[in-house]
Amino acid sequence: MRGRALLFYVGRRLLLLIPVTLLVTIAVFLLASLVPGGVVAVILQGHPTDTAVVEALRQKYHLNDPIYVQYLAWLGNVLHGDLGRSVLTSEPVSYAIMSRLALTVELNAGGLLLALSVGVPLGIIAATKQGRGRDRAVVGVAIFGSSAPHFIVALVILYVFAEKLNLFPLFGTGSDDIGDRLWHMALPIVALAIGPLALITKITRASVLDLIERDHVLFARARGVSELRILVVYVLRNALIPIVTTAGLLLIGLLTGTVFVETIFGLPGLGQLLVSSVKGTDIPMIQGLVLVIGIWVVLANVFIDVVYVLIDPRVGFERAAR
Amino acid sequence: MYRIDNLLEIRDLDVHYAGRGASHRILTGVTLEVRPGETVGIVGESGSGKSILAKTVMRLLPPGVEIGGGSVRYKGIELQSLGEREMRRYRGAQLTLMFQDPFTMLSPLLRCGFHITEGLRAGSGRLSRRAAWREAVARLAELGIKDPDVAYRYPFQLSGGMRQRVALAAALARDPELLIADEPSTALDVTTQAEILNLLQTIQRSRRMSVVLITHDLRVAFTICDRVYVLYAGAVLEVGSSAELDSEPLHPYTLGLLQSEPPVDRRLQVLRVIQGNVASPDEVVGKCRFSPRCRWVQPECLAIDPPLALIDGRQSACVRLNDIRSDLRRERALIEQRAAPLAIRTEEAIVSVVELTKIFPGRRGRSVTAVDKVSLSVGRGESVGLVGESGSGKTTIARCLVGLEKPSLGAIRIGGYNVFHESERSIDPRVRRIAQMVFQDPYSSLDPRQTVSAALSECLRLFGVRRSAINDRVAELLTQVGLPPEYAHRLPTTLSGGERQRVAIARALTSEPKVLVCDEPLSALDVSVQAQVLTLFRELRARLNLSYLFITHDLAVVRQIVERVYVLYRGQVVEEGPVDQVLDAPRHEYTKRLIASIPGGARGHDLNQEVRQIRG
Amino acid sequence: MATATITTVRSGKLPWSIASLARSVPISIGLALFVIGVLLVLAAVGQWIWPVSPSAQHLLNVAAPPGSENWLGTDTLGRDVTARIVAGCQSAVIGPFIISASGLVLSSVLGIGAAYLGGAVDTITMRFVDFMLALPGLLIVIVIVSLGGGGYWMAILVLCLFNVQGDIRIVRGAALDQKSLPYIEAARVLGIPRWRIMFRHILPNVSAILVANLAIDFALALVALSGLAFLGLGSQPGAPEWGSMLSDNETILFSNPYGALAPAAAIVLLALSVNLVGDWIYDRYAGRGRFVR
Repeated sequence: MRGRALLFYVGRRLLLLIPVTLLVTIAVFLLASLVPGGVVAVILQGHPTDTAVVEALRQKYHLNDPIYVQYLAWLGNVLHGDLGRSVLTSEPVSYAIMSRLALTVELNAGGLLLALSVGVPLGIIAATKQGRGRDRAVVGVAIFGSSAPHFIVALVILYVFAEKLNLFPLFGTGSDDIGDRLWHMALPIVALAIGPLALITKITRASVLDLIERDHVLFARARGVSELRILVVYVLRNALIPIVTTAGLLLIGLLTGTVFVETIFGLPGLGQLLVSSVKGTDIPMIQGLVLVIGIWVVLANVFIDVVYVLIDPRVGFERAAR
Repeated sequence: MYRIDNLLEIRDLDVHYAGRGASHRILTGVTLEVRPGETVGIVGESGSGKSILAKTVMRLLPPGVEIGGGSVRYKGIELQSLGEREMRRYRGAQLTLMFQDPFTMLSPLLRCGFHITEGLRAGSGRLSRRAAWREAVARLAELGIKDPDVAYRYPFQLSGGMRQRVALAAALARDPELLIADEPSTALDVTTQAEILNLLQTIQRSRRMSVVLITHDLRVAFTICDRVYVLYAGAVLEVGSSAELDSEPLHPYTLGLLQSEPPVDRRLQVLRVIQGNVASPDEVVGKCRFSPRCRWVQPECLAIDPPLALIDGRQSACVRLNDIRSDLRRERALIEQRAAPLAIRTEEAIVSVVELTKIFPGRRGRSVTAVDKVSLSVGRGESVGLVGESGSGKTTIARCLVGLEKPSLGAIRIGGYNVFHESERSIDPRVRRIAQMVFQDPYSSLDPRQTVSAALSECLRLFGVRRSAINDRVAELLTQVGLPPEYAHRLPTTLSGGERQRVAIARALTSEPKVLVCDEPLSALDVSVQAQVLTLFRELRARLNLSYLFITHDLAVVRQIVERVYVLYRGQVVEEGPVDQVLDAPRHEYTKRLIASIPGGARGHDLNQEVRQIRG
Repeated sequence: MATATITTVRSGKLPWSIASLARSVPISIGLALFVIGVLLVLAAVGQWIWPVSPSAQHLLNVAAPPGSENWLGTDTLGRDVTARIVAGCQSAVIGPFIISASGLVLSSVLGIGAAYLGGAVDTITMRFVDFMLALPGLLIVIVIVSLGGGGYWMAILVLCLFNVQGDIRIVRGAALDQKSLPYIEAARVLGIPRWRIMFRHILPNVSAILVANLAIDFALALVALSGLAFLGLGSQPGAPEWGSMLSDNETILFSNPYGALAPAAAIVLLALSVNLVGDWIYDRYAGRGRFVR
């Protein structure tokens, strides 16, 4: 029964969240249409403007049609897999995005893994040794980590480890060899993970601290259950719930940080693509990117919701409300 | 010097809280014994230190709380000298502790049976998982849960009484010889309370365990405990057997407690009350703990901290005992007196409820009928009680009366006005001048950021009192509820529970109402303070000719304050009539069961039999 | 005694007297407040009292390391880094303040309103909040700001919009907790008008959360704003803004590292101080706790 309920739940969530993505693309579309001259102006930057050429271009990009027609045309193309062509490089948008997607996913996944695998244990250690040196140190580092913006962290890491200490390569993603790749990606992943790591540590610490004082933990102690067992069986699962509920924000934070990290480390991922297309007002690319980002966020949210329902038996699939 | 046959022996225990800089006493010089197979009660109000005492024995003290001195021996072994590892081996296997709130004692993410199998498998001789779960089911059956599926359910799927049984089974999983139960029935309904207490007694006998029952209710202690220790402000004031303490208390505090809990079988003409607020140990250092509130206090009581003295085989910490012994006896006899039944006045109804129904939309389409066609009335100047347990709908009715909930069906008229009008969102404002409400929890029914005067003035302005007259009126109200007018400038956080409730009552009186709807106004207060506030209610009624709709689960209390009573069960009125008649000669099965469940009200009864008969 | 669960929300009020404040503040918070104070003063009057000009270019003295004349050296156009840091205090403080202050006002009105009034108000507000929370904020901001032409004030406007959703949710949660407490119900029974209940009873009791949010939003806004500037989207070219200083001086990282490290340190220092204070307020005075008995 749970399997089927799960499927229904996932289906319903997807149905609810897709309109969100569409709304965002509409918003961006509308904004883009406000740029003076639109796509055409971008293409013709620096070139002399011959009215005939302008008119031809406007025809080609359907700029003379009413807005909603343009949007629907774009949407129609999307459903066929055609996201248009970049006005800066002329390559197909979908190709540009797909070729860079893997890298950004690597970066994000690596960052998330690192943040979780270091952040959760740190939070637990801080909570169980509360008040003493270790706790204060961890809390201090956590606050520091969550205050420093991604681009500064990335810059500092780059400067210290790559430049001064020459431990890691400066730019690029390395070859296909796993070892080399890891070596190249290590710094960017760490830079990306620090902020979320700090946050996860803080949340874990706070929720473990809260749980340790709860009656059911006290009762377990009164029955002679060992501290270790209490930690693992009683505290841990409960403590992870707040993390799951803020996981959505965490993933978004990671995505946002990717932009800066890719820029600074010169990694050809989606983030860097976004920056360059935004600076060059590459409208088709921007629209395509926003769409992809929207889908990414939707999928991430659905995944998180499912994990939450699986962890907490109190929440049935029918009423898994935020 | 200790007796080898004592299971648990505590001598001169001092416990304090060492906070930032300041240190607060919690327990001082507590001496206590538990023999094998005995049930011992520890009775105390808030601040008495009873819960900390339990945690000290188990060495589960919260951070900052430390043992200052004294010894705690279990089977002759000093528990404080054990390392944490060794102590852990004692916990659960030799002595165990369970708490008050069944809703938080079990981990919400673990199945009920798990809490039991965990203990079973930790013992010597490794049980397989299958065998452990089978045994868990058997253990639950031992405690009255026959349905084997319960073990596989999660705590949130069970009722309070069932959770408490699961917790008990978990605590007993390793067959300890000593069970400390900290207010095991307090968070439950009266009928469930009786069942759990009975269960404890049965278990204790069948397993030949010792049980320490911690409670604030003397009568609860009397039902199942052999001996009782009376704890106040961190010290033991009296020790004796249940029978002895009940028939002849040898300490003014014990007497006061007995008097503060009104009897259910008669109405008292005069409610004897202990003045003042419950003291914390630091406030009464170096003198008799009870002296600030004692009626018989003399200079010698303030000179030293009286030790427990042996008198006629019992112990009491009252230095003046020989002088006042006869006084105590006389006062005790007063409780046995009976007042004449009140005359029922049949006047026009000031509150009239006709076929009130309230249905709450529930989850997954299942709706809950909280109130089902209830009709009741309150006459002008009359006081009426609404009695029931949780789920009876009594609180919902009260909320409908004052406009916090809108009825699904039915009509409510107060003072001749319809409370609700079809189309409008809020109630008829004229009703607010006639009926007001006093809430249950004084700790959260006052805005913590408003001074007493600000809270009262806000209401007075609302009801049209002129600015110039406000201060006087505030002082007048405070005096009416028994508070000094200087309290006007205080914040609620600086007041005790009883004082806060008085302020809440004063606030309700700002609109000069004719009817007060009181929703369990005493349940959140300490026992000794309850009687004070109950007396206040009586006085106010006489002085201001108020009517009450008094909602409570406590039949003894209701008897002291109302003339007529309605008994509610699952949203319906199952019985009504003059309070003496309903309580002395109940007709409905539920009313009978309710009365039978009252501790002390039916001592000697076989509660299980009664309950079984009713359940059918 | 069937005790009701005596509900557990700490009164979110702040201590009034300075004396009690001084006694209860740990050293780290005191330091943080000091730093904030200094930066505020510099933001207010720095530009006028600082002897060195932040915009004067000395093209013969480009990217010079720290010396007696230039404490932190010079940047790519020979401008004094220290002076630029001081001048940058203004934009570092004003923008985030506007954003967090607007967040305070909007979240208190909408959060308390949605919580107390319920019904349509609540549904619409929460749909809006859920929608906004599902968006990858900064990315969308990047897109909008750039399409809108960029610049400091454009960035502030857009960030104001994208800042409120988290706050509204937190404030609404806190207001809901208060709403279910008896003292609010008592106020309703007594007939106290709705607006008064919302803003004279609920608002003061969630004030600690509001102030804590203010601080944390400030830090987030600072980071976002400088991030945008770093990407070239959030400030006028040439203006002494810490974020754009960072990206400008990245190229001279090896000649004068302080050109980039100084603004980085400044951003982190301010964000850290404000975060510390915000966290502390949240821990001490707000969040879930118990009524003082």
